[in-house]
Amino acid sequence: MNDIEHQHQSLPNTDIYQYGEPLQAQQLTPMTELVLTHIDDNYPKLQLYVAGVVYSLIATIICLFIGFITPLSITAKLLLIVFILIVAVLIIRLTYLKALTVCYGVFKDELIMRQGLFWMSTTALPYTRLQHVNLSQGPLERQYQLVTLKCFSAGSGEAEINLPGLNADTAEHLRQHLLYQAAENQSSEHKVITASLDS
Amino acid sequence: MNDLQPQEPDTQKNAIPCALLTDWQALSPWSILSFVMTSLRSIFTNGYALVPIFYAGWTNDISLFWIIDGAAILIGLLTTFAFIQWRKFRYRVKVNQLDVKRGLFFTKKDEIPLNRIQNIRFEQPFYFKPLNLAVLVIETAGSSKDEARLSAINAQHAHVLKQQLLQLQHEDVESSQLKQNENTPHQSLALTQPIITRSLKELILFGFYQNNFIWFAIIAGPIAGQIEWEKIVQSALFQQLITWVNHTTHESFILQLVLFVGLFIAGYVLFSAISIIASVLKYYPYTLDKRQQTLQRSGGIIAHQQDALAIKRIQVIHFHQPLLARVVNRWTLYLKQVKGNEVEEKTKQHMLIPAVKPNEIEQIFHPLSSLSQTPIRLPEGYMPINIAWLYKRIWLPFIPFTALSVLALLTPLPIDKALIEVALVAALIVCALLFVRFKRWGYFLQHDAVWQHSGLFGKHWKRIPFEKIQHVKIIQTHAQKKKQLAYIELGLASGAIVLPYIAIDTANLIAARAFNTISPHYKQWI
Repeated sequence: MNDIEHQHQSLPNTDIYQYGEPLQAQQLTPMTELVLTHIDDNYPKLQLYVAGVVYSLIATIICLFIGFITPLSITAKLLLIVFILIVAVLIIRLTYLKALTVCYGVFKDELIMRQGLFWMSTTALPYTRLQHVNLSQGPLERQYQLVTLKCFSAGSGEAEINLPGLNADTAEHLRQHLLYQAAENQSSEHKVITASLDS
Repeated sequence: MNDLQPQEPDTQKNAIPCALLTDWQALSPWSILSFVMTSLRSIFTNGYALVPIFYAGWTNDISLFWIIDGAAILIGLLTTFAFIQWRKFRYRVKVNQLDVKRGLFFTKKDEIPLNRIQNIRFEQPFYFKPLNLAVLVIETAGSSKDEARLSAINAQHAHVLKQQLLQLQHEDVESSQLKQNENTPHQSLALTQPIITRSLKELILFGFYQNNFIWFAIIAGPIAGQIEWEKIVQSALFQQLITWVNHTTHESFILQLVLFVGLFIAGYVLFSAISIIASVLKYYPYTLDKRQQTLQRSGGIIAHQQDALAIKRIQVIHFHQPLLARVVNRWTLYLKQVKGNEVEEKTKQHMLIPAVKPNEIEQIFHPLSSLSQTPIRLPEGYMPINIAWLYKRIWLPFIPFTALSVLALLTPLPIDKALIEVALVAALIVCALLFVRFKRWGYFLQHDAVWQHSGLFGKHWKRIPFEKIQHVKIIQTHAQKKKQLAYIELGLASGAIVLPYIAIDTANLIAARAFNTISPHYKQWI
């Protein structure tokens, strides 16, 4: 009953919607705000485990060193150990949070990847500049069916895009797509050249 | 064998690309000499680290015979090795690829597609000049170390071979239009278009402003470590010197200062002279020519050297003006290539044009129309980066000063007042330098390129064409996001270039222009 009454009540603020001016090209979503796909959920978990083991080992060794070897008073030792443990937990937590931020997007002409906790970096690599693609899988990654995808361009020996934690199936699919795109782009160049020579 | 070859390709070049060379060719036996000399040279140039060892040997009275024996064994080994190398080395030029075979136990065969050749260097060391022989070094993308090296080829043949290797990769419309002109070598010379020459005076100027103390430090470092300074200070000669200085200056501080400044200037002039001589020996007479779609630089007094670089391989043009060059208003131009494939093999240097006046820049790039549609000249000014860059850094140099003052005030630690003063002065100096650096940061946006301006004492302009960009990276912190600022990194084959603290709108604009240029269609860019 109430609903019907509401329908006929006239509210000047909500009945007319102002659409405003159409968006200009500059107002469209920029590269840094694009909505991207997150990588496999297992990757942050794996990073958490690895970082947990590594940093707790380091922290334990330092704590043992402080506890038995350094000539300090008991309170100073305890304070130091507590400090080191807090730092270790913080580092482990940050590693996990950083792994959570990794995401990527496959667009018509570019592959875009975003990562970073404090320094949020968005990298875009057009398919026309792709030289080769590399899939790699470490022993731990194999347990979780994860794969790291690397995309290289010319010049620097480093990968322009280093995308870890992809599901193995997705990664293979992605690799094939990228290679196809690169090949497609390069063959279209030859078409242009033969056309210009014929004319 | 090689003597016969030059005429053949000359006449048959266009009919069948070099019918004779499709067979496997051996190098001339002179290549043994070339190999031994380059090995010896690399041993000596990398051998300044051995100076302390020799010095120690000399002081420990090792007999001269040992040294002679050692040298003889070294040269004997090198010669044997070079002989085997020469016996096993074969090359051939096919229609669109160069094959090189070498090695005794591990035979290695390289097949180099001609369109993958990055640049070709023509070298003529002094011992090959009377023999009219030369060395061709062929560099490809990817392999920076194991490039093909054809040594002791007849000089004319080397030129022909170089033209073949370079021209074959440009079977584009332009060269097919020019084809009828190419039949005679006389007319093909007309295809060479001079870009710029540098006179002796300009090379001297270049050596003067480009000189630096780094070379001195490299040479002097190991030697200075060997000298026993205490003994020298205590030696009679040094004491005499001190008394002489005190006597002649009448122990007046001003005169002593004048003496030391004079000594410093004399030392500086000495280093400048070394640098000037090096520059003249390396580059005189400097000529840069455009031959079809390649740039060729030649020069050198002792060892004649000729570098060839395909114009489309040029990625970034880097204009550099060191502090001294500002007085004479000259710029050094570097034509940056793909990283790891620089023209200069050892020093990893890019092809450079020394001592260029600002008004000459437009003329230099006018014939190189494939680099840019619009004329290339230095921008008049630049947009500054955001002041937040400075705020983020300016307080850092004060950390040692603050820490020292706090410790001195609050704790009973014995901290010298002089130390705190030094920390303050150092912090102020670093602040001033940071401010200068901030003032120099900037960018200039064009339709087809973006320029980066930076520097501290000198000035750098880098022209980044959008069509050469490989990837774009935008980096933001949370604070930058609030202030609408960003770092933008433009990845190129010659290395990444960063513009810090620019407005996010500008960063997006640069990214948009780059992607609009490179994404829609593929074009070979390296």
